[in-house]
Amino acid sequence: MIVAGCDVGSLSGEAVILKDNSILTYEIMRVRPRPEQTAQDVMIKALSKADLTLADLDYCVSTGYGREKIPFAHSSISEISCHGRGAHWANTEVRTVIDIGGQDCKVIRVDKRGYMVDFAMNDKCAAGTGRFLEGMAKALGVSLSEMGPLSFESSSPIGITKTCSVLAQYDVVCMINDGMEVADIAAGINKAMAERISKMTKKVGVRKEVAMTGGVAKNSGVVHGLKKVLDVDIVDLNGVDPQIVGALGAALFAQERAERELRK
Amino acid sequence: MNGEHAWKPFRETVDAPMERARAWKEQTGGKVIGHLLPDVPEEIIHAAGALPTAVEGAGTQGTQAQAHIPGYTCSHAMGAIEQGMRHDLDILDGMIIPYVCDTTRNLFHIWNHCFPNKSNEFLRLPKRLDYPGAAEYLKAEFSRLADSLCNITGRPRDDEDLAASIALYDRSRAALRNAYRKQREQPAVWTSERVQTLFKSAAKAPREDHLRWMEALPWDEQSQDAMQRVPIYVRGKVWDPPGILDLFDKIGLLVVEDEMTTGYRGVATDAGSDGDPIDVLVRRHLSLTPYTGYHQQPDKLVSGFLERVQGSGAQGVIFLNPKFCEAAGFDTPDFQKALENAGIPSLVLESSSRGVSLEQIRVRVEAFREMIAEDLP
Amino acid sequence: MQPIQALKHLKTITAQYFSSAHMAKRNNKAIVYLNVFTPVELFYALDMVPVYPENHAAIIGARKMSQEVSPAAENLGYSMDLCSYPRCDIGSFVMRLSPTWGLPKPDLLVGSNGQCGTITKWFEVLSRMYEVPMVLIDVPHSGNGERDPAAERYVRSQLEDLVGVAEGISGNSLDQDKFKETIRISQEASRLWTRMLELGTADPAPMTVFDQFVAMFPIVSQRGTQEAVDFYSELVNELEERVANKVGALDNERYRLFWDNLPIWPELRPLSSFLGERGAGLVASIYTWAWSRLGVGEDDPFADWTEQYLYTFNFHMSKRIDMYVELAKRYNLHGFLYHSNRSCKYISQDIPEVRAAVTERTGIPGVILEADHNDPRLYTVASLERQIDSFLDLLAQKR
Repeated sequence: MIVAGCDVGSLSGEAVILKDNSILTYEIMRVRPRPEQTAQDVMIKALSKADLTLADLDYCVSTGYGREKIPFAHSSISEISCHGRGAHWANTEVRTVIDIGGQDCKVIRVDKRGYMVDFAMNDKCAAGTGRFLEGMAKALGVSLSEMGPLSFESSSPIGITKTCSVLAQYDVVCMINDGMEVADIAAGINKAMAERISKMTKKVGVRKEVAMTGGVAKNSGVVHGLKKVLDVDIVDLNGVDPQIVGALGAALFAQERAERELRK
Repeated sequence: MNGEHAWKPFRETVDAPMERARAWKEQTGGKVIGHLLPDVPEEIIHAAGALPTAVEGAGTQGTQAQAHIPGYTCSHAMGAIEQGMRHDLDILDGMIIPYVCDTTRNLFHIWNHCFPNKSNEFLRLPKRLDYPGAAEYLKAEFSRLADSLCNITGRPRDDEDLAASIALYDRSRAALRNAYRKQREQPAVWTSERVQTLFKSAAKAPREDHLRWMEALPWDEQSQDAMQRVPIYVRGKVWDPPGILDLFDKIGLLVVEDEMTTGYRGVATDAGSDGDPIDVLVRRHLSLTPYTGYHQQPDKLVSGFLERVQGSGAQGVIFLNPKFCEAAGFDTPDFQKALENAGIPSLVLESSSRGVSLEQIRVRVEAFREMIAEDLP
Repeated sequence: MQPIQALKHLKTITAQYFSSAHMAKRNNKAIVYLNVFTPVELFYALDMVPVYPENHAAIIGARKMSQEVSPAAENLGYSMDLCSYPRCDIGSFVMRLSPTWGLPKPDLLVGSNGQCGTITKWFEVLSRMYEVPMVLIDVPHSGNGERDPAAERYVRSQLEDLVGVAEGISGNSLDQDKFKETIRISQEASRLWTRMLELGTADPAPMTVFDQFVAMFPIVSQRGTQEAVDFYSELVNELEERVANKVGALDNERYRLFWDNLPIWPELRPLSSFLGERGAGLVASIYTWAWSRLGVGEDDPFADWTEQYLYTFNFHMSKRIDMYVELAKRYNLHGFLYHSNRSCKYISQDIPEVRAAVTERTGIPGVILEADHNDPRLYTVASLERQIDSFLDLLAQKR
């Protein structure tokens, strides 16, 4: 049985093709102007890697911001359920998933089957999201990918307490003007980000194991900070790219739905 | 579809409430009195010969209000000033702002400063619901309001007029309760969004007309509902952000009971006709579900809420909290904890005067539904 | 700039107050949590120990502990958009971290919504947390401050009923002589406090508003005790001496400014020195003025309290504007600093209208500074200082 999951977000789209419960191929790409276009392009690309076409799919589940508009999807499921499911599949010990995307941050608790049982999501304010980090990196004059390594050079991270990103940027600019070490400020930013996320995590309750998904999972500084603040280890996803976890979860749901249809 | 036609007058009222008021004013020469909703006794306005028109600030966005009130203000207050500033409310001869919270106290002062040519009233609602003196005070306050309104309209105050208005509003409330019941029984026809349009327009159109329109609704239409709907209970003030009920309808959440001032709470209780009409209104007021601005013994506030939720048959609770609302914000954690202890999941959604992303709200609501419905995959 | 000697006693006064509050249970005294304008004389006369969660929160702010304790409340679900006083107070309780060794467990909570609605909700949370009864003094708010006889009856009956409740909890019955004596002492403290404020009209002003903030503790918590009277007598004597000798709080007082709203507790020192260095003296403030008319008569204190609740603390914008116009004249003010306080929506939301009206009537400019009374995560000092600097430039140009 061949099924697919398609995740269309605000910045990127992902497609995962599953065959008999293992990943056949996947694809990631920047979004096109319209979500249905992104979905189509990313799905066809992923399928073509395995010499498949849309007609070969037994079932497809869409997720993400554009999920309602995807014509070839049979049904759609929220990305919160999908992220939980996908991360749990990658590592079945996972019970808590922290997903930090560009626009929002979610903490998802799953049961032993990978089904979501509780979640928290930040408000529309940028604090605690990739956008916050991006803004801070800009104020520091470094690239986003440098933020992690840079923060490890610091021996005394500076406290960044402002939660509003506008105020925090103001503070960062003042700190630079005061001649403070860029590494210390970067470390402070990553720490602040970790603290902000840990607050949400505590709302849902930290259950082991904890996994991280989304683009910010690639920032070693934030991951390190979270480990410290939450006092837990962050497990890896056994080689699954953290960025495709949502689409993977959708594909897993697609597989279950296809099986259910078959039984009918 | 024949059915759609019957919903039209309600929609038109909601889309352009002040046009409706203008037409009424031209026809009758009467006064139009705006009010800022929570618990303003419309019967008293009606009995004075004026048209009560609810003003809902929530959902209004703009930039003019910010010069008069800081950004850390709820959407309800901010939006009301915005509407006034952009002349949407020019048709109003007067405005009644009820004492709900500190923001409404300030709103009255600011309003009066910005719009001194209107007859503005601050309705001093007592907060201590289980103190006997509150009823006595409320009686004096309702009487004062009646005098003040009759002063504006020039109509002599008459108990019989008030009794007649109360009877009219009771009839209207009964009809709205029926519609609310229909929402549970026939959710495909009586969608939450449609039923809310009935409620919303009731507070804006002449109530006699509204009652007549309601008779023409497709009360007997039967339909199949393919969707599996999850019953929920909603606590909040007004249905904000706009579109939230449509969202519930689409993803299969069914509001079985709510505490909205523009929702079920407003029609749940009749006034009746037993005794002096002001007394009757006071009794009704004090038996309303305690809105977050009111005070009762603190443990009772929580246990009463939990009982209402459990009695409603809801499987989950959604809190629709206006951002910056101190009362709702301080109530919610203990209320949520009580629900959690009773095994009832809940979700807090915040609305803001700067608007919210319905898409972000949608993700949460959908995940919430998936979490309680257990019908995945 | 010479420090005011009398203020040195505050450390001992607060330490003694808190240690005796913590000892109350052992001395068989009941503890009542109050909000700042409740008639404390009644409780002192009943030998109860009044404790102020607001005061506790302000001390947390002034000691710069807010950032440490407030997140604990936020973790419970109290959003950062809510008043930072309860956030700090609840957070401090949860973390068992407090500059006053915490607050002793209450036997009764008494608050009023005349001052603000948040008190109602905050005390409701505390009432559930400690499982103790709460009495709300519900104060209707008349639109423009006009008299409301029905409200007078309503408030008065609640105050009279409060006596029975407090007697029940304390196990004491109200001794009329002791009650009158407490009221007399309280009146004296209030008179001295007002005198202290009025001395600020002198040129140069002998005390800044920053020091007034620091000196507030006894007038808030200890009205009706001899400690408050002794403290303020000494303070007033010292200030009178300063006035007689033309000794100012600042060495070079160039501008006389008004502070609107609550202080920014965590920034008292930085803002005080920032303004001081620029010769800008804060000579009057609405916040410290609020305690100036608290004295009640012995004959019918309930009538006076009712009057205060309904018409004094219960802010009405037009009255507030009138008051500012009057204070501008009395204090010979050059400018107004309006603290738009995210936490205290009640006295902040009116500010744009108040500022416009006051400037229109007096020609005196004002600047709005958006900050918070307790939570430094909601503002940046550098930005506040920049705004103040620009404002002082404006005042300089006007000369």
